[in-house]
Amino acid sequence: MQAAANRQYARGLSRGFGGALLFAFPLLMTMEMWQLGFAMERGRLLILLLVSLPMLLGLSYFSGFEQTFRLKDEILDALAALAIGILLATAMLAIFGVLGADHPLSENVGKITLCAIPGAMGALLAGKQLGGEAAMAARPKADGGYLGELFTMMVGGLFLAFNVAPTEEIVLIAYQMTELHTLALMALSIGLLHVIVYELGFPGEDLRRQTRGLRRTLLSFTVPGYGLALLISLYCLWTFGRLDGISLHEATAMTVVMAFPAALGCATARLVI
Amino acid sequence: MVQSKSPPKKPARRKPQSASSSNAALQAPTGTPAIEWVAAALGAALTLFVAGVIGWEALYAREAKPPSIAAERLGVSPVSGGYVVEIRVTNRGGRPAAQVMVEGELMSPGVEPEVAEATFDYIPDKSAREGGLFFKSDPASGTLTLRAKGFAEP
Repeated sequence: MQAAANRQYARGLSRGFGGALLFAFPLLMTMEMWQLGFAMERGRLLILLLVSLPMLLGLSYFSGFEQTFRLKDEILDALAALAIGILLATAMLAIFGVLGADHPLSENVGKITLCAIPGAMGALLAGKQLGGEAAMAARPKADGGYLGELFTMMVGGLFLAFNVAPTEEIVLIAYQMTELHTLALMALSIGLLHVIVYELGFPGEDLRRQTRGLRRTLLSFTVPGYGLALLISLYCLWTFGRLDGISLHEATAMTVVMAFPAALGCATARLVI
Repeated sequence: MVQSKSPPKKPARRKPQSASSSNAALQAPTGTPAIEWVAAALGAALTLFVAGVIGWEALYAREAKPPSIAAERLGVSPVSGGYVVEIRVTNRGGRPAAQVMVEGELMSPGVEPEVAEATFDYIPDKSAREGGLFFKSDPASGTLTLRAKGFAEP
């Protein structure tokens, strides 16, 4: 009994490693992630780590290594995902020669922490992503109601936004765009968000979707979804110190640029989570 | 005596019956498996360690002191077309520095001073990075002064 349970959980863990690698490798191989790992303000890095804990807990509720919904198991899963994220980031950054034995501990730890967070998210997502068809069908889908759907959107948006947030290109694109470009990108983001959410809908409400009007989708998913995307963008930009000493005009443009991937993430979250 | 009549048939029939019942245990593990506790404990320990290091640094180690950068000479080797002076650049300040420009000026008697430059992408606080400066004449023939020229906030 115990041996079988252990074996099954170990399989879940190795799936988690696979998922963490798949989701985190673009960031592990991004130069800005290493630089921000030691250059970004320590307080903000600590806040990011603390913010990721409840998010991992929520993710574990929707897709974890196990098919249970007990709080104890969610906490254990979230911690295991962090273990995977940290171990994977350490191993990969060491192989890439990013970590150095002669570098100060805080520098190495900073780089590992920043890369470990997307890794931990990937580890939990893999519970579903890399799981077999049978495992997916057998799992009762967690239905968190409207708040649960907003949470799912938030995680999806945060994940995609996080993938581009550290890059210099966000700043560069914001510089290059005129006000007209900015407005066009906003319209495109909202339009895509709406079309994807309206077309895909959310599982568990397939029946309602037929009757749900275009206006209801717009009001209950698209508008709050884009609001979430903007907030996520602001948070990511602040975390990486991109807003420090920036004029309101430039900060707005950057937020809109970041909100594009964030909105895509929000819209497609249900595909991934 | 009766058994000897058909010995090869009987064992073949029994096998499938005995194996079927033990497989059920695989399907639904009820208790928390031991490995789950191990993984979670490892995660908790690693997270606390990481948060501890960052938190300690956030509270005490990072000062507002600006980067203070000093360059020192490690060694000289002859290369094609001149000499390379290997240098180590150390940031003893409280903040990291980016695009650190280091200049070496070689003053030899009777010759015009020779200047070489190197740029270091990032030097975190309390850290050192190494590089090199190329000169045409032998640094041993004159006096070499190294200094950091400037940096950008990362």
